[in-house]
Amino acid sequence: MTDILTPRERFGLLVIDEKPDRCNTIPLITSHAASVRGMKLRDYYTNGENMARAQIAAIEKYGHDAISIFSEVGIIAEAMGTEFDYPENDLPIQRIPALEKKDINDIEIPVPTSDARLPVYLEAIEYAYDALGDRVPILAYIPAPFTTGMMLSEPNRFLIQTIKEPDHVKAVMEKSLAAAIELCYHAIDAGGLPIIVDPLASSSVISPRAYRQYALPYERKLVDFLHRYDLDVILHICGDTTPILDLLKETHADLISIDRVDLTDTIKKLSSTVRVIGNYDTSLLAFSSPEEIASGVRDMVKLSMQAPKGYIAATGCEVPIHAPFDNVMAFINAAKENGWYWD
Amino acid sequence: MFDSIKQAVIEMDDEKTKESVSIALKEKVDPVEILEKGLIAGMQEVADLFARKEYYVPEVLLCSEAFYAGFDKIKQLIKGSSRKPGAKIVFGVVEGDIHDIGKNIVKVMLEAAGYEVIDLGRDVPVLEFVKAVEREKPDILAISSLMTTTMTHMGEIILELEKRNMRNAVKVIIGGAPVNEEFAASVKADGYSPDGPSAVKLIEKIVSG
Repeated sequence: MTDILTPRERFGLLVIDEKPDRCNTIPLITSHAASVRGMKLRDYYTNGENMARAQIAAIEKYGHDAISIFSEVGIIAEAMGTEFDYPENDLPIQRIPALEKKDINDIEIPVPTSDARLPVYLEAIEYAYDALGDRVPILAYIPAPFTTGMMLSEPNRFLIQTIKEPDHVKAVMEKSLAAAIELCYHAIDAGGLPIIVDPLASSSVISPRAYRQYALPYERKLVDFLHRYDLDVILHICGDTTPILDLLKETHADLISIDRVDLTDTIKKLSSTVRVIGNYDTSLLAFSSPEEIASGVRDMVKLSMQAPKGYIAATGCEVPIHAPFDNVMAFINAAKENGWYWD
Repeated sequence: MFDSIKQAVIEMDDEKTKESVSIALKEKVDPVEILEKGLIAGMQEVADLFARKEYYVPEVLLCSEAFYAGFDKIKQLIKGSSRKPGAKIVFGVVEGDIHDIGKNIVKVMLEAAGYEVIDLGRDVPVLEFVKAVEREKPDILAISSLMTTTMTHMGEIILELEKRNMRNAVKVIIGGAPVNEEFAASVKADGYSPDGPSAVKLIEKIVSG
């Protein structure tokens, strides 16, 4: 089958409850794009034009349905003072957390056009939008306040503070929210569609109670802010979210992207109100064969594409940087071939 | 007596744990028993609560703090006592990955179960793992990764061990959120466990042959 719509039209139909020609196919191809372009990771995440060119090269190679401007969840925290190393062939590594040096009250809301690598992201969004924006959605990954809060802190200490020092954690959340909103303004302006990512708020890390107390209220505030722009907002949480599936609806997100959760169960619970995105196991993408991937993705798509509010075929987490190209291709081809809606 | 130590660990109360251990010591209770019937029993219950998803990472971290607070009071007294160390485990998080909370939780559970853990920390290069195996001659090499982007390093470590003819000298087990059985098989690891409690069981199984 040959595509009839552009990725942008395809996404546009999904969010107005119409069936597109085929299932939207958006594996989370983030830093993997650097491998496609044959680029060192450091060159990818420190230079906006490089990041965009790598993303465009990935789209040209694979033909999936969105650009993903992202390298790692520390970007906002870095602009707020957390120090990172930039290894040549790895993603940035957190070295000194901002809150080990300063009190939360002394940390300033970053200026996205000038602080740390936020300009890299904005430049990447802008470059990609100029090149492909009329045809392809440009997803701008925005770390949610809880995840940013943990990246601002020594992680063990932060998690303990969620029990021992709730007022401190809330102050961190407020400031991280303000920073995320500031970044969203600029990301939208540059042509990006924000996708909120909050991997550290999953039930692989914190309890549903802590999620409700610290993560959910700020995810919701961020989603509500984006709704003022009349945007359809995606929330992605890697890891296990089984215990908080029902709570995810309360974030007001329009599309929810899940990882280590039963997909059928998720559709049953969420799909009367939100569009579900997910959730092929990324480790399989790294290490199984194209044949196995094709059959796994076929089953997943067949099972999920009739979800009442629509479905996007995706990976549960980021595509591994070194996943074999044939494997990623097998995912995308299988999702396209098996996800056809029109006669 | 042991029960109040155990409860203090489960209730995440480091002060109460120290206090209960002190009382027990004053009453001339054998430190090895304080460790095994109090502190370790407490951590075992914590491991169960974690496995049952009643406790999550922050709760386990606080329990670990309580465990170590009590353990510090008796550590010196136990040295040279009758408690035999279990297997030796070299443990680290792969290069590019600074997420070591999971590793730390598994570590406390392993130590609580009586194993000797050599902790390489986080963001550990492939060759550092190999050198540590050479140096420490552990029974088990445990590797953790929390990111799909970095987990491929696990396979590289195992390949490097093979290259140096060291693969048969050590059992390699892996864990971390993105890792699973299939992945473990594909990189030829000897085992996989999703969390602390099952890591203890896995190692018991490997050690007992």
